[in-house]
Amino acid sequence: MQGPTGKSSASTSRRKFLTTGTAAGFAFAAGVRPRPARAATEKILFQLDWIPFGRHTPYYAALENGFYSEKGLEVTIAQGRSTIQGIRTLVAGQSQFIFQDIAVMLSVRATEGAKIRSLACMYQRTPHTLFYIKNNGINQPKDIEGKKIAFTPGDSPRRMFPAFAKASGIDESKVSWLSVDPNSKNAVLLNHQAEGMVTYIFTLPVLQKSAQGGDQVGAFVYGDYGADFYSNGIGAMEEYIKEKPEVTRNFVQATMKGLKFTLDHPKEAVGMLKNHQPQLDEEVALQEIEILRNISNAKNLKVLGSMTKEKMQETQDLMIKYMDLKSPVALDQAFTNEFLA
Amino acid sequence: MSTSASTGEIGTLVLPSTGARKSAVYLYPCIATIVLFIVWEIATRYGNISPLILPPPTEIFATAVAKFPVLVRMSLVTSYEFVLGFILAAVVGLPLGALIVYARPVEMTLYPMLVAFQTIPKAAIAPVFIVWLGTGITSKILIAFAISFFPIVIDTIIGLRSTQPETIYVVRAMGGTAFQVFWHVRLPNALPAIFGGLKVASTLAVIGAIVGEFVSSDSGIGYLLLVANGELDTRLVFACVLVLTVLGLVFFFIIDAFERVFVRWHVSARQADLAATGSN
Amino acid sequence: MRNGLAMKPRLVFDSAEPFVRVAGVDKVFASHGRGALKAVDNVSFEIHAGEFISIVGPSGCGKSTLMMMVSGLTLPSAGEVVIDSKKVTRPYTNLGIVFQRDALLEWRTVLENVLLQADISRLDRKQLRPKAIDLLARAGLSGFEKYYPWELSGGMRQRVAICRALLNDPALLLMDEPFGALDAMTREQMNLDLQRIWTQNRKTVLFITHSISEAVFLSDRIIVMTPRPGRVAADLRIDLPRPRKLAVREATQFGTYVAKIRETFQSFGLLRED
Repeated sequence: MQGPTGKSSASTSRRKFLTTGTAAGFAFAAGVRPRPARAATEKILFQLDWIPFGRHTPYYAALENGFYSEKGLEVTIAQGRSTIQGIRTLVAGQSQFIFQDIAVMLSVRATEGAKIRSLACMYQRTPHTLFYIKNNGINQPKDIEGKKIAFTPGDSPRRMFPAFAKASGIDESKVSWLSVDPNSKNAVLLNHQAEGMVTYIFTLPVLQKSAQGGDQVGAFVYGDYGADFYSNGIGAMEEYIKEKPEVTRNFVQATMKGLKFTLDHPKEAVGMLKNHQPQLDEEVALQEIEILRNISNAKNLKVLGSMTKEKMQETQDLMIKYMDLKSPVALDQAFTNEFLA
Repeated sequence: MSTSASTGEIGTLVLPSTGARKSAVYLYPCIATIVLFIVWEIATRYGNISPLILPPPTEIFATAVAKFPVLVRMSLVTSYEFVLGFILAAVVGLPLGALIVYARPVEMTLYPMLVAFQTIPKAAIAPVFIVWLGTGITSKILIAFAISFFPIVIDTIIGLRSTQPETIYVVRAMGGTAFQVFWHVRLPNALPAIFGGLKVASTLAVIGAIVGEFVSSDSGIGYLLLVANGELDTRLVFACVLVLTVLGLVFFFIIDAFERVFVRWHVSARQADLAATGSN
Repeated sequence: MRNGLAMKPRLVFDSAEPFVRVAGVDKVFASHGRGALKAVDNVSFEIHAGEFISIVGPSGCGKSTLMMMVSGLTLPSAGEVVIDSKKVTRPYTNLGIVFQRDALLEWRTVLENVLLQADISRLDRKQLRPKAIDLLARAGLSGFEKYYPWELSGGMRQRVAICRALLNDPALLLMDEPFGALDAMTREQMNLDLQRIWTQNRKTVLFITHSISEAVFLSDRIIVMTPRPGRVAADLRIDLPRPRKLAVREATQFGTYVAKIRETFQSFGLLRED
């Protein structure tokens, strides 16, 4: 018999609420969902690296096409502020999969011991770029010495900058850094409040479009100057993968399906992106997808998103050489292609 | 000489708090904080909490000590920002409040605009400030100013308007000018309220400076915090939070000290003394 | 005449010419939406120098308003107030004023409160200190100079207010129910003290009160006012010998005066006994 104060056991009060029709609200709040008789849907939080732009179309395409739901996955895509913030959510268990820079994930594994494993790589070539305004005294990377570069704390272009600096001959001690909120970064460069800005090459179309008064935007891509490494891909905690291999497989494959769909049907895919991010410019998004096409392709790439031990080694070596990485890790545990095929 | 027993007032000085009671005011929160830190230390060392999420206090203190010079340098920058922002807020807010009380046309024009301005979340327009005023210290000072001056204006108005009319009549009957009424009666009477506003504003000014630093900066505790966060140096993040707390407290207590000097006479100050002596 | 102290004229106490003359004074307050409110209607009376006049009347009869007009803090809507042969058009400063709420400045010590006039008139505090201390002593507040108002009882505070009013040695003292907030015993004591102070320097006093017996005890004349709008219902001379002791309240004549005033009130429908 229940007391009027409702202090009965959870199940009986739950049933009571169900009959009055407030099941969904209270059950959700209590973290319990009414489960149907068939296979349970898995709730996934997929943490992106940045504010969603055209380059993130594949994931929204996967969502809208039902690639996730047909595998029993209920995916929420969350926008991010930087790779490091994303990694934090993964370590804290708030997200199950993240879309982050693989080199950074590797370095975090090495320095902090966080057991993150890379499951696929979308940006096979480094998209990290130092943007600048042309005709402002900067013609080569070294010219950024004595000037200010805008960055967002925790983003991988800042983290990997030492590798780029050493490879292209920049004396890092001569560069001053300006921390900027992700939403204001483009404006800071375009308003000449900083002479340089580091982010991914994908931002080039947006910058070119918004440049003021005849300014032209230049780009030094890290990879072109000898700092080429695996960039963004899908990551998850080893424990989670061990616990839920089927979910992992389903997620990775659905996501890669989304990528393939986007590359094959860019216009349609952008339409799906716009359902979630209506403010985005379609033209710019399509340009970003072309950049994505370029970057997701690598020499001798057999399976979309697969990684090679060689390049992983190169990536780690780069960090040892240029970024003083003291405790390299065994790479076999750091990545796997097993879920891709 | 008659005394009135009915209201509990006595015709002699209220005794100052005894030494024991007075130090209790400082002792209790100190003890509570230490207990908090002990619990925190135990929880993080023996619980299953990743240091990336919540580091133990001892490690935070160690980091603070190790990074002391940087923390001091950054504190100076942030302090400069919020102190100046606060001073600006006081210098603008106090006269503005007085003007609104004394000039009805000013009140009718400015007051609604002030309220509207106040409802705009400063965190939302901070990026706009940065675009207009650049990424340097000026924009932070102005954000601190913008976020902290409203309470000062409002409390000044409330304080000035809370004057007992008879006190004004007395001064006017003595031949006092409007200025003398303001200086001898309205202003001292308004000080408790004004200080209330200043204290609130002091905490807001610190927030304003940090909000500005979060949008864009190249120095300051907010900047350091973001960079530390970006490098997964959670210990340094917490050290920054600790430093910010200390800065905010020190600033608040400086204003509180001024208040004690100017507003010793007010009923709120007396209540504290009465409570301390246990004669409430 | 802003600076009352510096420019005090030599007052000639000519009993033929009244010191204060209130002539046909009206006060009308504009009230939102409900039309104008007439507080005082065609009031006229005179006060001679050195007289102690009380005004008694029911609540809302405009006595406080009347006092404000005599002081010059408010101006009449019609009629005029003349003090010392000059029409009052702004605060008359050769006066001391005491309200029911003592209106002491909480942030000043007792002594500083009494010395307020010095600050307002930009006089040397040092010169007036002895006078202030003397006033306080005569009010029985010796030793309390450095105390703050909140450390004193109601009666003591009101005494400080009276000392403050007397610092200027004003010719006219206006008091609006100064003892209204005090308990009965303190009130009696204050009546005695006030009588003593007044006897010492024979100021002209306009005293407002609710209490008929207090008025009879203290005054030379009592002006009785009607309920709103206040008019003069009676102007009664009190011929009791001075100095008056508390025992005089049991005297027959005292009772007669009180009864007369009470009857006047009852004639307006107040103090109904049915």
